[in-house]
Amino acid sequence: MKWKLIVALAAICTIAAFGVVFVPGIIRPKFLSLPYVLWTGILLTGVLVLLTYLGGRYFPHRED
Amino acid sequence: MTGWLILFFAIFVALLIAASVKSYKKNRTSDEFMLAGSNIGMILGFLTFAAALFSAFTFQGMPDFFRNHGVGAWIFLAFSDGVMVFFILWFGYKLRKRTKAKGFKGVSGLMSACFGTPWAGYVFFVAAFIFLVPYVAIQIRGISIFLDATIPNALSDWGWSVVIVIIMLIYAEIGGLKAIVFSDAIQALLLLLVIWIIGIFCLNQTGGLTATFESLEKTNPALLSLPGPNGLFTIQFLIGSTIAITMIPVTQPQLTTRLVVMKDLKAVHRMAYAVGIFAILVILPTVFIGLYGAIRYPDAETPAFIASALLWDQPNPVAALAVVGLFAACLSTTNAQIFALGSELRSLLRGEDNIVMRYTRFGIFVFSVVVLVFSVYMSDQLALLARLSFTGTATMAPIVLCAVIFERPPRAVVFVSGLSLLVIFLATIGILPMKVGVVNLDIILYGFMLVSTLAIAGWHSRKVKVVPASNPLDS
Repeated sequence: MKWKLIVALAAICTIAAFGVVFVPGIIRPKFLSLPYVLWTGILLTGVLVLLTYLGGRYFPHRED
Repeated sequence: MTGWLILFFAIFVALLIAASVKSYKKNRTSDEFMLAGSNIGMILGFLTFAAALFSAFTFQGMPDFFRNHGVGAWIFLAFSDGVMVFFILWFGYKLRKRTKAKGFKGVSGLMSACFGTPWAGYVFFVAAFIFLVPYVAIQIRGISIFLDATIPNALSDWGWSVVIVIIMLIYAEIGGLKAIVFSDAIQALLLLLVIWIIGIFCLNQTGGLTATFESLEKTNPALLSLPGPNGLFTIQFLIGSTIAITMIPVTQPQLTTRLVVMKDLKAVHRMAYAVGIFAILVILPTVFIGLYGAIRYPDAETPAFIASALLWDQPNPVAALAVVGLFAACLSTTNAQIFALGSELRSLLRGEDNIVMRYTRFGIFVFSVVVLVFSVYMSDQLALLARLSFTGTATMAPIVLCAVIFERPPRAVVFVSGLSLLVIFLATIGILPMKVGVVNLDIILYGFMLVSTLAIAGWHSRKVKVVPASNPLDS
């Protein structure tokens, strides 16, 4: 169940990134002086890496 | 700077010799030589994977990408790497399960064994050869530019390329994959150290984060948003890049092999998130270097910008460290890719172990010569050439994914991959257009591969029993 949730979150994160987050022509809102595309890009990359860590912990299969 | 250069090179060479000696073993089998005994732990595995993935292209191509096309370059590489490391969780498991059942000498051989036809292996090998050659040549081209700028008139571009390839061949010949893995670890740490030192220096020179972005907003605001000043980073381009980069561990044999030679699945999963963290850490300073270039050298040619930002603008010890770091990056990545092509050739050959190894070593030599020639004639668009390489090898995804999912995979996907490879090759040499209307060719090909593979797999799974737990959502 946890694995399925993690996969769903990773899929949502990726689809939302290209669907609604990475919008052309936008510089603001800024965060720590970083333009919008850069800070959202860093944030979403960090989320995916965190989900990778959690996915590794809750991966449902084991090697024989 | 010469004194510092000699000192750092001496340390680097000493580390390489130590790694070779540690790896060298008399009477080793071809599996020990080519697959490092398949016992690589998490830390070494993560460093070798990161080093094979991030190279001269990251060191030189990414700052130039940020300088010319703006902050969207983060999505192009770092975000795509985030998706890729997550995908490794499932793919690593399926791949290792398959290799345990079928054995592993190389991806081409594995494909032949899984599909029950050598054609699956041949198609994979041809794709790897055609599209890894430009990627390997990028590394050599990158370091040649840099060395020529560092020590002008000592050797030509071509001369530096020959020196690199000779060192690489000697090194691979002595130590095999194990030595390459050790040198990768040295390279990955060196790359991270050097790129951060230069990144911080560049950020200080432009007055810190706030001043840098304020300055760019006044002079070239298009650099701070999508699609960038030249319109490169469209959503379509970025989606295409993400798909191609996510498929790198699936379709680029030097990385696929690293997933197989890891000690166990736990090590693969730990390696995946460690590579994700490494990606963020190594790409972040390239933003600073690139934006420094956008402020200081907006109109400079690529080699002039790289030489200035990484070399002439730096204090002597940092510049010397950058030369050695880049040399190490180039050497280990080139090594990994050429060696992977050798492994692929070996996995397709049959016969006595010593005869197969003789052909493999000769094959590695031939690949090196081809790469050398290519590196002399290629352009300076390092990041775009890297992307082309990723796109080309991504056409092999249907073959590899069906091979790891199905007990007896449908042979029709070999045709799908082969046709896609032909189309992207013809587009690369200019016979076919790279765009159809407003749609990029790579997006059309990914759509074609996805739909046709799903259709073939759906039809096939009704006939043949699917390997249990092929669904990544199974728990």
